[in-house]
Amino acid sequence: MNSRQLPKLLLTSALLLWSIASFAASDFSGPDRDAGGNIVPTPKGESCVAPTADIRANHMDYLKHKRNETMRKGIRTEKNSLVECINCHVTPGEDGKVARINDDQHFCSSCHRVASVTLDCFECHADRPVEYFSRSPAGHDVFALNPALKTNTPHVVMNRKGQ
Amino acid sequence: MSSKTNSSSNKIDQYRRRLLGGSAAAVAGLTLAPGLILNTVQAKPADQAVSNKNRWGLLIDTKKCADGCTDCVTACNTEHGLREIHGPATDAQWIRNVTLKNKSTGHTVNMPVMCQHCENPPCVDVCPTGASFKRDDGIVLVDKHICIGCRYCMMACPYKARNFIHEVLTDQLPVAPRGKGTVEACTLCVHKVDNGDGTTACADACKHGAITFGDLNDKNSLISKKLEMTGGRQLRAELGLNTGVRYQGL
Repeated sequence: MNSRQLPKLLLTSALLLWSIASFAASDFSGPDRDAGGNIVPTPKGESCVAPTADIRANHMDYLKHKRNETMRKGIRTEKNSLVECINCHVTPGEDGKVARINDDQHFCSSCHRVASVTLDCFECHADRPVEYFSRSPAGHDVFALNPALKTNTPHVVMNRKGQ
Repeated sequence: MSSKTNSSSNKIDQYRRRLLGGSAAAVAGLTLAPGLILNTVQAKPADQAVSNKNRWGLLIDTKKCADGCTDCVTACNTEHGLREIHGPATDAQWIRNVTLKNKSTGHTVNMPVMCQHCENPPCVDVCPTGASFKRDDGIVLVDKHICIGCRYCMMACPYKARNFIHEVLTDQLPVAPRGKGTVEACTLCVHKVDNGDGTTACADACKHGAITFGDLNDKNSLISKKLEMTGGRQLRAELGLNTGVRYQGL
């Protein structure tokens, strides 16, 4: 190693140390943050079904395992269920609105966007908690989003032709 | 004497247990006729897998099915978030209102036709990916995670029960994930079945009492009793598919 390379090496290692330190700090203190350091919505529950590090690393496997158990065997426990993840983690922001999957503030997309991971769960699955979907007490004639809760997308009630 | 006392108190205990147990497990009771009371459908614990002890099915009495009534279709659409997109030609229809007309007599029959939840489902036979499958309790479903949208199952189904989703969907309901490029059909309200509701949206909505949901394997269930007393036919019985949906009055 010559004398020209030494400052470069020192600078690189300093940067590396700083990034590790800042990542660790964001990981263990203050509000929940995504991989990009953005604050993510506060979950409803007191603690997740597993430690944060475990969930961050393995949530996709847990979800996939659970999905097969539920779909093929009808096991509908709450742990690791996508619906329950959404119920707890997708909470209203400061404006009182619940973020949709295409918003940066949505619990799932906030991190996947930074990690550059394409997320297609929500092409089929609901991206909002169950409480945002309601049924008219009269019965089955109307389907609408719960009007008592603020939403940021209009919802159209449509019926089949002739009904 | 003592043994007699024991047995009678045991019976009381059994009765009490049944009565108390009713709150934990959903028990639907119904008086079919004087002296014939039927208790059906016990909630399965959420952590237990479904088993072939149950075989869920529907019994549809076409004589009670009113002309022009679409309550079951609407209820199904509502339950699963099916909405109009481009009209009946391409929209998903989990229940079709079918009218049969006897050409010689002019007699017409109305009936809802949905996935018949066959014991030997042709859709499962032809599926190249294993997406089309039958649960142990007889409910035929599509695993949309591995469905490639080839539509072989739609060709194979003798009942035209399956639908292909052509458009990008939004605002699907939590209980019914649905999406573009996959095939779907009646799920026999599997989320309600697993929840122990003991009914389906269509059976629940039918004000004429034309649709009965129940366990075909349980000889004491309402559906089995009705089948025993008044019979029921399979659509295209000659195919030997042993459908879970049966029809009366055809």
